[in-house]
Amino acid sequence: MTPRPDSLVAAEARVRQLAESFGGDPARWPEADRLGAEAWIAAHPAEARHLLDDARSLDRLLFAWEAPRPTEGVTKRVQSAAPVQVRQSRRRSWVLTLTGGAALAAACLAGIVAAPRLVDPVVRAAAAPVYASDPDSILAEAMTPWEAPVAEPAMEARS
Amino acid sequence: MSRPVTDALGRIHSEGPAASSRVDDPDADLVRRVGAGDALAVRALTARKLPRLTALAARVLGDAAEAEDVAQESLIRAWRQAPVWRFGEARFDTWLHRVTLNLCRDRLRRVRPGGPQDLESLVDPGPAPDRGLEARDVGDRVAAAMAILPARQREAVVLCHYQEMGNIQAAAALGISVEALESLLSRGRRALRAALSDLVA
Repeated sequence: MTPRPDSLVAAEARVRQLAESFGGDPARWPEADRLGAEAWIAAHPAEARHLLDDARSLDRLLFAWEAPRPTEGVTKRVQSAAPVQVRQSRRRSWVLTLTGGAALAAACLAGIVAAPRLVDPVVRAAAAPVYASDPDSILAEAMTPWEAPVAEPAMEARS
Repeated sequence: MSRPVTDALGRIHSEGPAASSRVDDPDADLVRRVGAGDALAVRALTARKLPRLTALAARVLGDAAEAEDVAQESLIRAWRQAPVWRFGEARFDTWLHRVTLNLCRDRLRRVRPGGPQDLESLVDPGPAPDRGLEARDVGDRVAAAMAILPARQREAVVLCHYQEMGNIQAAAALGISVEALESLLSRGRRALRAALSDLVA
C-alpha cells in the first residue's frame, strides 16, 4: 500500500476535528477552514460521508430540543420600556458630555489664573534679576571689573 | 493571520495587521434608529432579538420563566446602550449575547449554588402538544444531557449549534480564544454523544 502524503492525513484530521466540534454541516464551520475542508471532502467522498454522517446524527438529535418562544406579555413589556430607557440614556450621555466639557474648561481656566501664583517664591526670587537703584551702587557695580588689585609693596624698594 | 480578542465589554478587537478593521454589524442601522428614539426600530429589534435571547437563556438556564426575565433585562440594557453604542467596535448581537450569558451566570450562582448538576431536575423544555410523543421525549433527553454538561461547554454548544454563531462571534461572546472555543465544543459534543448514545443512529 502506498503511504498517503502528510498533507492529506492532516486535511482528514482537520475535517474530523471540525465535524467533532462544529457538527456535520460544513456551512457552520469556521470560514478560515471551510475552503480547504470542502476541497478534501470533494476529493474523498466516501471517507467524508462516513465522518460527516456521524456528526450529523448528533446534530439531528440536538435539534429535537425546542426552545420556548417569548410570550406576548414580555414582548409588550420590553417594547414599552424602550422610550424611557432610551431617553434617560441620552440625557445621561448629554449630562456627562456637558459636565465633562465644563470640568475641562474650568480646569484650563483655573490653570491659567493660578499658574503664576503657584511658582515657588524662592525660585521666583532667584529667577528675578536684581538691579542697582542708587548712583553709588551703579558706579561701584560698573567699576568692579576694573578695580586694580592691591599689590604687596615691593621688597627691593623697602631695602 | 490576525486573531480576534475581546475586552471586558465584549468588544471585538483584532491582533496583528487587521487591527484597524471595523466590525461589520448587520444590526447597526436598527441600533442607530433605536438610539434616535424610533418606535418602529424598537419593534423590529425586539422581533429580531427577543426570541433569540429567550432561547439562549432557556437553554443555558433550563427554565422558561427565568429565561424570559433574563431576555427582558438584556433588551432593556440594549435600549440604554443604543444611544451611546460605539459602532464598528463590536457586533451588537455579540454584546447582547454576552450580557445575556452574564445574567444567566448570575442567576445560576445565586439560585443554584450547587452547580450545574442541579440543573438536570429543573429542565423544562415546555409542553408541545402538536408534536409527537417521541420527538418530545428526545427533546427532553437532549435537555437533560445538556443540563449536566459543565457550564462553559453548555454555553459553547448553545452559541454555536442553537444560536448559529460563527466561531469568532461565539468566542467573543464567551470572552475566550477561538481555539479554546473549539476545545469546549469538541468536549461538549463528545459528552452529549456519550449521554445520548442509545439515540445516536
